[in-house]
This record gives sequence, C-alpha cells and structure tokens, in this order.
Amino acid sequence: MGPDLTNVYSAPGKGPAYIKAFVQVGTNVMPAFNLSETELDQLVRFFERIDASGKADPKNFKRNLNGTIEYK
Amino acid sequence: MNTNKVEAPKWLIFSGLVLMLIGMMFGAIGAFQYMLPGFLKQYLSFEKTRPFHVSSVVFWILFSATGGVVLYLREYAQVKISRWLSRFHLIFFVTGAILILSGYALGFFGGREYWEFPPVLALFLLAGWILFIIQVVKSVKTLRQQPVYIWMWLTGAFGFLFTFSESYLWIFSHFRKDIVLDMTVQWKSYGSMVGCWNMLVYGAGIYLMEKISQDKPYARSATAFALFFLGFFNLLFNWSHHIYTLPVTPAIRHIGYLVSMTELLILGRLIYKWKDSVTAMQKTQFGLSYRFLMIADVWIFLNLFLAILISIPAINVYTHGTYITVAHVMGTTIGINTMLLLAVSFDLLGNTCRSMEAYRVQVYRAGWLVNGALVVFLTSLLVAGIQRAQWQMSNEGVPFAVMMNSLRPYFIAFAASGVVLLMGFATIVYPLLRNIVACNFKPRKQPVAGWKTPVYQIE
Repeated sequence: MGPDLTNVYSAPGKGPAYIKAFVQVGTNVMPAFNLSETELDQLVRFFERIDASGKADPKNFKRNLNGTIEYK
Repeated sequence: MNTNKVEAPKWLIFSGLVLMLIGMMFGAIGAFQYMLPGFLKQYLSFEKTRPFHVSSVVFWILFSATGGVVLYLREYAQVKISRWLSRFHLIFFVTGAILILSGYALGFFGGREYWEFPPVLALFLLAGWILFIIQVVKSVKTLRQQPVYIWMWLTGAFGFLFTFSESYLWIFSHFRKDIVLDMTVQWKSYGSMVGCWNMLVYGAGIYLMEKISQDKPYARSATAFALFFLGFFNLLFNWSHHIYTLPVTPAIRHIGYLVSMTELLILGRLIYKWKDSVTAMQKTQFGLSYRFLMIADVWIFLNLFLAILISIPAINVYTHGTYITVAHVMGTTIGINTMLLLAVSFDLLGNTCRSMEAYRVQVYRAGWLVNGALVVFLTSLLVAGIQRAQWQMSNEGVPFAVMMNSLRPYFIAFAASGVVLLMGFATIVYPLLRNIVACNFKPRKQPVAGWKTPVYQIE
C-alpha cells in the first residue's frame, strides 16, 4: 500500500520533474518503469489532472461529533 | 447410477480450491516482498504478485460459490441440471483463469484492481456467468413461497452480472475523462459486486445450516426476509463508504453513512442470537462442515463490528488508505467467505466417494492453526493501520519511508502468520483435492459414512 499520490503534482518540493525521476529510477519497493518520454509526459498530465480534482489530505476534513465530515 | 461421479460443478469447486491455494501462495510471497523490498524482484515483482493474489482469490470465491449454488439448487428443487450448461460454465471459467494468470506471468495487464487483465479476457467470465444464470433460472421454477436463500442466489446472480458490466464502464471515454466520476463508478460497482457474491456465499451458508439443523421455518420466516432486504438495501446504497474522501456531493456521503448504520440491526441480532446458536451447534454434531460454519459465525460478528466502525465518516477519514481497510477485506474474505465456502466444499466434495473420517483430526487441528494465525494476521494489520492513520493525520512531516520502516515488526508478524495460514489451509484442502482426484480415477462402489446427500440424475 503506497503513499497517496493525488496531490503529488502540486506538493512542495515535488512536481513533474520529481515524478519523472521517481518513475524512471524506482525505489527499493517500487520497480523502475521503463517508460518512454511520451509515456512519462502522459503520466505527468494524469497526475496534473487528478491534482486538479481536489485535495486528498485527510487533515482537510473537519470531523463532527455526529460522525459526519465536512471539507474545510 | 454412479453415485461417485465428479460432475462439472464439483470440478468448479475443485478448481476454486486450487486457485485459493495459488492465491494464498502469491499473497505470502507478496507479504515477504513487502517486508523484504527487492525479494524476487527480478523474477516476480510486486506488480505481478499482487494481481496474481487478488484475481486468484476472487476466482476461488466465484468458482466455488457458483458450483455450490448449482448443486444446492438441484438438491433443493429436485431438478435435473443441464450437463452442457455446467460443462461450458466450467470451461469458460477455467480457460479464462488460465489465460488471465498466464497473461500476468507474461506481463499482460490492462485492467483495474480485481480485474487487472486485458478487458477482452473478461468475456470468458461473462460467458460463464451468463450460463450460470441460465442454469439458476432453469432450476427455480417459481418465485412463490421460495425460501430466502433462493432469493439471495437470484439477487447475487443477476446483481453480479450488472455490477461486473458496470465495473467495465471505464473502457468508455465518457467515464474515463472525469477522474471523480471514474473513481465513483469504479468503487460503486466494486462495492456492490462484493455484496452480490456475498449473496451467493451467505445464501449457500443458510441453505447448509438448514440442511444440517433441519430447521426449515427459519429460511421462510419474516426475520430472514427482513435481514435479506436489509442486506440488499446495503448492497444498493452503502457503497459510498468507499469514497467518503472523494469530492462528491455531501448527500452521497450521508446516504452511505445512514445505510451502513442499518447494519447495526444485523449486529444486534447476532449478539441477541449468540447464545442460542452456540447451544444449537453443541446439540448438533455435523462434522467438518458444521465446524467451518461455526468459525464463520465468530468472524462475521468481529468483521461486521469493524465494518460498521470504518463506515462512520469521521473514523473513515483516519482509516481510509491504511491497513485497517486491508484487515477488513482480509477478515471478510478469509474469516467469512472462505470459512463458509469450505463448509460448502466439505459438504459437497467431502463424501463424494471416500470418507473424510481419516482426515478429521488433521482438519480440526489445521482449523485451530488457521484461526490462531488469522488472529495474529489481522491484529498486525490493525495495529499497523492505526500507526499509519496517526501518521496521516500528523503535522510532523515524517517521510513515508521512515513511517513504513517503523511498521516493519508488524509486517514480519503479518508475513509469518500469512505463511502459517497458507500451510493450514493447504492441510485442510488437501483431503478434498485428493478425494476428488482419487475418486475420478479410482472410484469406489460403496457409499460412505456421513451426510447422505441425495443423488439426482443429470441430463
């Protein structure tokens, strides 16, 4: 179960170059994907699009006593 | 008449049992890869291990549930089942599974979550499922005065066809172009789809309980139907607890929350009936099938409690995307579905032509081992999940990799108990597999001791 990547595109210190480097090099737990430059660009555009859909950080939700939540 | 004949629905259950062991083996490998990053990375990386595990286990449920329902329908309705429908159902499912798993090995992907294979291969499952529906409809002559399990099987059979098709809407660009719509439809279909196969599995469990206890009125009672409609209502509307954190209209969250809480009625009834059911179980000795039904009863209670807790939005915000969700999925799949389907398997395959008596002690011991390992397995996931939830809500900025490293002891416990689960289940399933294989090649003429399953002809 990896980290939430919804807002990786706009996260401070991350962004398109970071995403490309991460995917190309990989980590101990994530394989290096042998993607072409076009595929990397498409992947970055996908992250840009999901970033624009909203904020996924659970800290952005106000938790009410009746069990409901509201977006702050 | 050959009472020992291994027919297509039994081969479906047999294939399901084999797939369960394959799924668990890949689950154990995946757990080790989680614990030891890089383990087998060159030959079998995690992006292959995961779909191998998930698809095999889903196939175990679908294969054995559909095979079990066909045989139980024949037993209940005293009808002939169509040999050709059963055979093609088996052929489509088994061919599909072989192509899908071989495709994973060769690196052919292209689908999503449960169905990570190229979408065209879904046609095998779809074709097999349509034949299953035809078989079910042919066997149920009338809807009048049918017990609750017949309704559950019909709902599950048609509901799965609908939700399975819905889970492929993403292949149309209209659904793919908006990420929120795409994820909402995706998780709505998956949430309801699980509810549909649960209808098949739970229905089979209720039928088996009736068969063992000979308590016919329960499956026709107002209480049974009230609980069925409650389950059906949840199947239709509680899916939104999967997407509380998506930016959807708040009404969707509120409906999901309210509907999920109606499950408290089921929980309340379980607590109320607990003492009675235990007493009834002690009175009735029905061997291995009954043992697995009893085990499932305990896990239903524990998992329902967890499911209700994580359906509360204010708690779900913490638990979403953590190992607590994984514990919920594993707990229900292993503790409930697998235990119920093993009860069904022992009932339908156990005495096909040889007695299980020689294996009784071995299976009982393995049963204890499996349940002990499952407690460790789920506890390690829950504790790791709580720690990850704390990290998600913390403002300290601890890097993901550091947080993951701190969870290592729980991953070790998780992987070790996963291996024990695999060994335990292999010990339980082995006599069944051996029985069917031996039975097919060296059939015995004498009937066996134990439950006398009525024998019916097939067309």
